Amino acid sequence: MSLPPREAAGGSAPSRAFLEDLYRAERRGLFGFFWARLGDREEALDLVQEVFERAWRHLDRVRALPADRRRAWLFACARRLAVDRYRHRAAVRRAEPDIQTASAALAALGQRDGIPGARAERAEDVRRLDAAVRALPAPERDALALMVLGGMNSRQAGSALGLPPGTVRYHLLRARRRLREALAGDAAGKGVAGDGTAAGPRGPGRGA
Amino acid sequence: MVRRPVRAARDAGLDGLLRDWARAVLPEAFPALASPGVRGGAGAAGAKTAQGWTGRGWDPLTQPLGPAFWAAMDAVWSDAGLGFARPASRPAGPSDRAAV
Repeated sequence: MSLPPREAAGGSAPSRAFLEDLYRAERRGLFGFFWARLGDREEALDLVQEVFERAWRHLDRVRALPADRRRAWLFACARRLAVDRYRHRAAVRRAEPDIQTASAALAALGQRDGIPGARAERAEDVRRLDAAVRALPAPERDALALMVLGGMNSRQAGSALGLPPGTVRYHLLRARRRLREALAGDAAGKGVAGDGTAAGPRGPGRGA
Repeated sequence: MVRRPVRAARDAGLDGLLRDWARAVLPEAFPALASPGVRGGAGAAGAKTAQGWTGRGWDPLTQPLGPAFWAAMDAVWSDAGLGFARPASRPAGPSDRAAV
C-alpha cells in the first residue's frame, strides 16, 4: 500500500481530526451493521476498525466526498468486509452468520448492572429477545440493528444500506412484528396463551 | 372473549426489551481510534487494536505517530456523545489479554 507522504508521516492534524470525527459519527452504526451480519461482538469491533483502516488509506478520496456520501462509502466497504468474513468462515463452517445462543455479553447482563436476582428474569427476557433477533431475516435484522444498535433513523439507515427510508421502516415494522410473535410464542411455552391472554399466574399485563 | 393486550403496551414492553438488549450487545466503550501501524500505543485500547486492525500490513517503523496523536486518540474514550465512556475499572477483554 502507499500513502501520501504526509499520511505516511503520521497524518496531518486535520486528517486526524477528520478521521476521528468520522469514527465517532459512524462507529456505532457500523458496529450494528457488523453485529447484524456476523452476530459476534468482538468480530464486529475488529471489522469496524478495519473499515477505518481503509478510510485512512483512502482518506483523500473519502474527504472529497459530500458528507452524505461518506456513510455510503463506509458501509459499502463494510459490506465487502462482511462478505470476506463469510468466506473466511466458510472455510471452517457454514457461511451463514453464526446464530449463537446468548452471547457472553448477554450472559453478563445482570453482572454489568450489578443487579443479580431481581433482574434475572429480565435478563432471561433479553436473552430470548436476542435469540429472536438473530433468527430474523437478514434485511429485517439489518434494519433493526442499524436503528436500535446504531441509533440511526430510517433515512440514515437507508443511506447505509442503499435502501429508501420507507423500505427500512417497512423492514423494521416487520422485524418488530416477528419479535412480538416470537416473544409471545415463548410466553405461550411458559404458560401464557398464544393470543396474549394469561393462562396462569405469569401473565402480567395481559388480558382484561 | 378475552380482550387482546393493548398494542401500545406491548410496544412499550418491546421497546424496553430492545433498549436492554442494545445495552447488552453494544460495547461498554468503543476502542480508541488507533492509527494503523502503531501497536499498543494507547494502553488497553492499543492492545485491542493491535489485535484488530494494526497487524495487517502496516509497518510501525515507517509510519510512526507521536504521543500527541495518541493523546488525542485516547480522548475518544471519554467521548460522552454516545453515552459510552471507558470505566476506570474496565477489565481487559479477551483480545487485550491475548495482546499482553
